[in-house]
Amino acid sequence: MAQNKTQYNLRTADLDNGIIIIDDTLTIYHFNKWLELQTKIKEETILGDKLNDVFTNIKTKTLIRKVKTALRMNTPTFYTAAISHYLIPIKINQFKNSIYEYMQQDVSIIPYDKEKNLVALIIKDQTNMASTNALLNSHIQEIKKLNEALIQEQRLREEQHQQFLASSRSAAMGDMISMIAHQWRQPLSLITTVMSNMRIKKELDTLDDDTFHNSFKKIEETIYYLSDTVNDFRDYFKPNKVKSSVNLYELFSKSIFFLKDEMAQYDIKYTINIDKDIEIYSYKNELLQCIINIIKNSIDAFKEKEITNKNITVTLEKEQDMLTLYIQDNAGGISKEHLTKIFEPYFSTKSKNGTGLGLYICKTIIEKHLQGNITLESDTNGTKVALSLPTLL
Amino acid sequence: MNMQTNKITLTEDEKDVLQELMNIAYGSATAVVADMLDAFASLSIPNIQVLTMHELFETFDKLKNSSYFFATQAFSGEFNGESAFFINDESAQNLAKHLEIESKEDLDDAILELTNVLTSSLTTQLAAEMESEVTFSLPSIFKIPLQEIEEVETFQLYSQVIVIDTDLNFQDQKINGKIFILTKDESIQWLKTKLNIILEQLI
Repeated sequence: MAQNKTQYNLRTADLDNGIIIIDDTLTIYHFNKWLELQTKIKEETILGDKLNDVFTNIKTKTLIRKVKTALRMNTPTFYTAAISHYLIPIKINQFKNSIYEYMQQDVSIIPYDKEKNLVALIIKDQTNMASTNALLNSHIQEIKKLNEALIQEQRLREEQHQQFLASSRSAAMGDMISMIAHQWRQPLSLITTVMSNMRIKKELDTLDDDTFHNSFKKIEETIYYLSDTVNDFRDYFKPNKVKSSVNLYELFSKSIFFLKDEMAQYDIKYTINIDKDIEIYSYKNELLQCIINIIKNSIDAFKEKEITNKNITVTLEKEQDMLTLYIQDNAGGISKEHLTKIFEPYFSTKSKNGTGLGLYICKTIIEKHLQGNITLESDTNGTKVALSLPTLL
Repeated sequence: MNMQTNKITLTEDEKDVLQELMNIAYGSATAVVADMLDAFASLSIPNIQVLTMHELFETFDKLKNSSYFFATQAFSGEFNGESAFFINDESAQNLAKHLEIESKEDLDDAILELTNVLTSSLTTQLAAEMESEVTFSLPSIFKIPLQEIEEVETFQLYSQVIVIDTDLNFQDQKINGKIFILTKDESIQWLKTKLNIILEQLI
C-alpha cells in the first residue's frame, strides 16, 4: 500500500512546495520531488518508514496530536515558521540575506483520506519572509532603544527645566527683597527722623502732648505702610492657581508701584498709554512677574548708561482674540550679538547681579503658561518688547 | 470604502437561534479539544453580543493584565472574520505540564494549536448549520504581544463585531481560556439573513 509511488506523485511533482503524505502513526506514504531535491533523500528509500525515524528532530507526540486533530476535525492544523521554525531540516545553501541555518517552514496538516487516516503535510519555504521579519524585528528593537534614549533625554530636559524654574523663583525672591528694600528706605528714614526729633525735643524738654501724638501717629501710619508693602509683594509673587480677569492698566500701575522708588532714584519717567477698562482673562501674578522683569531690565539698562530724558512707554494694540503689549525704553538698546541669545537661560549682559534667567523665565511663562508670544526688537536708540496674549485664556 | 456606521442589532429571536446553533458548535468543539488534550473539558454557555470596537478593546483590556498571550486566526467564506484567544499565565503553564512540553516555543505552538482547534471547530460547525462553508487561509494564525492588541491592523477594519465568547475550562488541569469569534459588518448582515431563514422554518 505504502509503495504505490505514482498514485500521489502525479499530483504533486510540479508543485513548489514540499508534500508528505503520512498516516496517524507517521508512516510515510508519499515524499514529493521537491522534498527529494531539497533533502537529497529518495522517496523509494523511505516509503513505509516512520517520518520521526527519518527525521529524528521531529517531536513525535506533537506531530501525532496534530495529525489526529486534523483528522478528527476534518480541518487543517499547523506548524508556523514564526514559532516552530521547521519540521523537515533542510540546510540553506544560500547564505546571502539569511540569518537561518535551516529553511524556515510553514506546515499545514490537511486531512487527505479519512478512511485510511491519511493526512498531507504541505511544507512552504518561508525563509525569506522569516528573514525579513527578523530584520524588521531587529530594526524595531533598535527604534525602541532610540525611543527610550529620547524619552530619557526629554526627562532630563524636563528636570533641567524644573531646576531653571526653581532658580527663577529664587531670583524672583531676590528681586522682591531688593524691591522691598527700595520701598522701605524712605519710610524707614522717615521713622528715624521723627524718632530723632522726639528724642531731641524730650531732651530739651519741649516735647508737648500734641507733638508726641502727631509723631506717634506718623510712625504708626508709616509702619502700617511698611506692613502693607510686604503683604502686597507677598500676594503678587505667589503663582496663581486659577485664572481671573486682569485689568491691564491696573496691572501696569502695580508694576510701576513696585518699582517707583528705584525709577525715581534714577530719574526714569514712564507713560502708560492703555485704556483703563481693557481686561483679559489670564493668570494675573505670572503676567505681573513678567512685566516687572521687563521693566526692571529697562531700569538696569538705564543704570549702566548716561542718558537724558530716560523714559519707559507702554502701549497696546488690540486684535480680535489677541492683544499685544509693547514695553519700550530709550536706554540705548542691546547689541546684535547679544540679541540672538537674549532668551537663552543663564545669559546675562549685566555686569553684576544678573542671574540670566529673567527673560528665559518670561518667555517660558508667556509661551507655556499664558499661551502667548514674546518678541524683542532693539536698536541704538532703545529696546521694544512685544507681548502677545490671548484675551481669553 | 464606506463602512456602515449604523449599529446592527440582533433581535431576541435571532439571538436565541444563534445561541442554540452555538451550543451545538460548542458541543462538538469541546469533544475535539478534549480528544486533543486527552482530558475532560467543559465550555461555558457562549455569551453573544454585538459590540463596537471600542467596547471590544475595553473587554480585551481587562484580559490583558492576566494573560500569557493572545492569538488570532482569520477565517473566510460567506461567514468570515477572526477569532481571538486569550489564555492566562497559570493556564499556559498547566497546559505545558499536561502536554509534557518543555520549551517555550513548543508551548506557544500548542496554544496556537488550541486556538486553531477552537476556531475551526466552532466556525465550521456554525457555518455548516447555516449551510455554508468556512475556509482558513493558511497559515493565518499569529501570536500577538498583549500590549499591541489595539495596533492589530485587521481589527481596524471592523466597526462593530458580533462577539461570541466562552470560557474553556479543563477542571482537573486548571486550564482556562477565553475565545472570541469576531465577525465583520457584512457577515453580521449575512448571519441575520440566515438566522431569519431558520426562524421562518421553525414557525
